[in-house]
Amino acid sequence: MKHFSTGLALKYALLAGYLVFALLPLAWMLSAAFKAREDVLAVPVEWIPPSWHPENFARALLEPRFSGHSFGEFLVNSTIVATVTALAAVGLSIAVGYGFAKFRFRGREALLWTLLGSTLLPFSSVVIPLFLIIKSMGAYDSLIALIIPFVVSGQAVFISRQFLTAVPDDYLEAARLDGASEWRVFRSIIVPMSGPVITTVAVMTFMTSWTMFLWPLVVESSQRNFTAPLGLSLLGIGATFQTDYQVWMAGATIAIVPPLVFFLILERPYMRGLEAMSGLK
Amino acid sequence: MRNRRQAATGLAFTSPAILAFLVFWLAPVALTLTYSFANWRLGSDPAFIGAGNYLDLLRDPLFLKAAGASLRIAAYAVIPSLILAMLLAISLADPRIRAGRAWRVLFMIPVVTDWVATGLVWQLILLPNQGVIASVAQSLGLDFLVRVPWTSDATLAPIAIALFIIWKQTSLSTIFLYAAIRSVPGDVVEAAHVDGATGWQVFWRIKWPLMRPITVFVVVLSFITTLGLFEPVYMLTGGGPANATRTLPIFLYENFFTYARSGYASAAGVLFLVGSLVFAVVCSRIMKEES
Repeated sequence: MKHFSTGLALKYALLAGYLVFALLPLAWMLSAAFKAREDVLAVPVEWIPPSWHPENFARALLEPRFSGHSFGEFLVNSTIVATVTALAAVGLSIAVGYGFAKFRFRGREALLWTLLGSTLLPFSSVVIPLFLIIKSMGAYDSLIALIIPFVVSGQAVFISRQFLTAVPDDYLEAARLDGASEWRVFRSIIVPMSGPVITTVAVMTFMTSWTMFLWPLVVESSQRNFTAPLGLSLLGIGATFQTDYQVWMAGATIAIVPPLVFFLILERPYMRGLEAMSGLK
Repeated sequence: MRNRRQAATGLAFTSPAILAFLVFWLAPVALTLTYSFANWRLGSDPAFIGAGNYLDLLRDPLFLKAAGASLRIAAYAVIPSLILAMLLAISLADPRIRAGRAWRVLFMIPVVTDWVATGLVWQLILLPNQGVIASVAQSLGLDFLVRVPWTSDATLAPIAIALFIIWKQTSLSTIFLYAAIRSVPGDVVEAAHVDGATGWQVFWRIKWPLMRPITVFVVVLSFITTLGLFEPVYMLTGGGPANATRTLPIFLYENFFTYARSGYASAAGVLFLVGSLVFAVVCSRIMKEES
């Protein structure tokens, strides 16, 4: 019995230690975001700001510094891009997942696995070819370029297919016998049943889109099209801002909040989706 | 007739994915493959030179160094991260641990943040003398940690980047492995316990064989993901010092976008892609054989 409780104590210690490791950098960021410039790198670390400067957030958001554009405008771009991508991904994934789940056609399995396999490849290994395609489509340096390549993803299709496979065929057959068209079956049976898929795919896509960096870095050249991470990477640029670390940290905090809030609200379906991913075997 | 209609409807529903796959994956890859055989600067006409780029790459010390740096950082990051993730997953799966869901949700927070924002934070954490590590070390009397030039020393920079990656990614593997442990049927474990098996025996004899396929999946996924990471390097070192962290993604990016050596970069991209593909296929073969 004693042996068991030692093991349990060790497990708690491991979890607690890891939790500190995982959250301490973010706690430090949050505290630095409220500090005066000279307190950010004070030795020893001041975990509670000695004086509070919420104006750091206003400075991070509003001060124009990227040829007249402000970080706030980049947040608007990120919001548009991530929202549109998530909405499109939801619609397409349900349709595609349904096609894979409920219809037999030649090459179905091969297609599904190729699609899924392709998304496991590192994005940076296809960034050059993707850039060439987007450029030849005339979408270089536009917000569209940040959206269209990501509206279909292997993970989203896979999750949706897994979920829709479980829908009983009898439902669909009954509707067809009543004379419903395929489109009507999809709209009135499949879509209303897809609630969990919709949330999972929406959260995953929104977060991926919001946090992407390499792609906007290569495909956007005008600063009016910059996204939040892109703007953040340039926050330290410009003579006056070089070492305004408290403003960096305020900007970083702002950029982290939207995907984090999204995650915390929809944490259940998101985690279920992740766990389904590991059922790929 | 029924079958044909079924196939047509199925294809109609799946066509958006097929189309997207063709346009954004297959076509680009075909295009790079073509350009990889050309001496080409973006904006000018490509001149085809056969396998020249590939031969140059294999003799280019910078390319070989980049491949080495990628593998080194991936190894430094993935191995400790997976060991940690496995221990965390085993702990989380212990039924006596309370508030399991709260732990998992809090653990996921670094995963859902973005690389750039947290990259700025880690820059300041790693700063010698004034950074968070240096400052905390000083308070604890660990003076040898105060002046460590984490990102500007060729030996330490890959470790610093790996540390950042471990911080950001470990929880994701933890969740996958946790799901794997939980997928082991409870009654089997129960029966083993009744038969007098110890916790370790239950793990090694029953749970481990059942979770091995998923574990291999997690290993492949984290290794390939880590090899392809651009952001942590870009944010912490930008490839320096002395090319010690100039990984393949950075090499590709610089050659294509900075030096406009488009054909050369395309060839490097093809090698990187093929390497990842081979790695993924080999691992999934092993995975299939084992399951």
